[in-house]
Amino acid sequence: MHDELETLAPLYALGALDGDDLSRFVAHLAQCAECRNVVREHEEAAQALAFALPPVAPRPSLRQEIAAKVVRRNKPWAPLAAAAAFVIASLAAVIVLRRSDSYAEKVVRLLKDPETKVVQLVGTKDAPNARGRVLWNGKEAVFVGTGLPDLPGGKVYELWAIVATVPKAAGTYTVDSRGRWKEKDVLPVPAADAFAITIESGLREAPTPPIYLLPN
Amino acid sequence: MDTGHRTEDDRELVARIAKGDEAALGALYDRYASVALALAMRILGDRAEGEDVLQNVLVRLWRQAGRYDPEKGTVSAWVLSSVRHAAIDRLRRREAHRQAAEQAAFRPVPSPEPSSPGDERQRMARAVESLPPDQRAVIELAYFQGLSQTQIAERLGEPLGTVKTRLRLGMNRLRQALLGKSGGPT
Repeated sequence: MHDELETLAPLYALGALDGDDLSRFVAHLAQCAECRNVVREHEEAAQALAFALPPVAPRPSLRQEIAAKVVRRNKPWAPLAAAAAFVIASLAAVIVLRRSDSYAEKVVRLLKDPETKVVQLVGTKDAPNARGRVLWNGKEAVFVGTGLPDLPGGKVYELWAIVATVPKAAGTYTVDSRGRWKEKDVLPVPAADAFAITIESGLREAPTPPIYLLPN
Repeated sequence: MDTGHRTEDDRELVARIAKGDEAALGALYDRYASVALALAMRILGDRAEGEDVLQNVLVRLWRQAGRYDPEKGTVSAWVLSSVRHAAIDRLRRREAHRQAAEQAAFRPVPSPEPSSPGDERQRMARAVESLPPDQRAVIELAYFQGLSQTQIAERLGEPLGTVKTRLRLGMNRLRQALLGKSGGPT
């Protein structure tokens, strides 16, 4: 199992894996420190492709333009507004249903936070109609999704925060008897490079394939 | 791949950036801007867009420097992979122009001040040049075009298994070439 999967590590490091190979390898990585190490070595090696290019000096003013940008960063969140509007719409129903001020307040705080970004998730071949979004400010995250496979009895959707190549459990979501999301909460997510969704029997430490949602 | 000292310097710079030190951001920029721009331009085939990507990545890095985790890799790998992902995202958004971008006979202007020591850069260039052409071709389609194994197989009209083997052999060769002489990963 391991040996066969390890052959996928260089392809994963290049971002070239897809389909079953990708979901199997991501699940394996969570449990295999050796493969994480091999992936990291390949990621370092892949840099050679960039360093081998003839370097190109940026226009002389660019350095100063970046410096000016980082100094007067008053954190406008206008670019986020369009994406946020969708999420607000998605969340509104949930907020009304739950009438939980603390949850609503947390979500609004997340939306107002200039650090918050919206990560789009698309369905894998195991859930081609699934779509999802994660709002994440670097500390906390909220997930909303549609089109996911129905939850078998006793199962939960689990959100994974993938840090570099390692999936870390972020939290679980369930639906009620009518298929509506319930027990939604803002989940603590201190670090993430990507997010994914699986179906589990409860909060797990490592994802069980298949993976249903991944960033597009 | 980086020398130990350089890696340490880089980490120190990122730690200072996380504390809001603008001079450290400038130093990191001086170190990697020309290789990062070469990468973004190789992907996008356009200088203005490449510079735009570079600027966005640096501004984001300024905000997120506190999240850098040395366990996950070197600073240069972090910076270049951010640039690569941002450029490929942009490439995908203008799918319609993909063909044109690929065929653009782009000739970059050599930088007067290489951002990496010459011998290190040459070593990397030699490692890439030592790849058999069929392996290098599939690796470049993945790295510069952001294509998956299946898309590469379709593009080249080759069986998926063949593409996977070439990717794997090529990357292993690259890793051996680079790690072999530098005494292994840190």
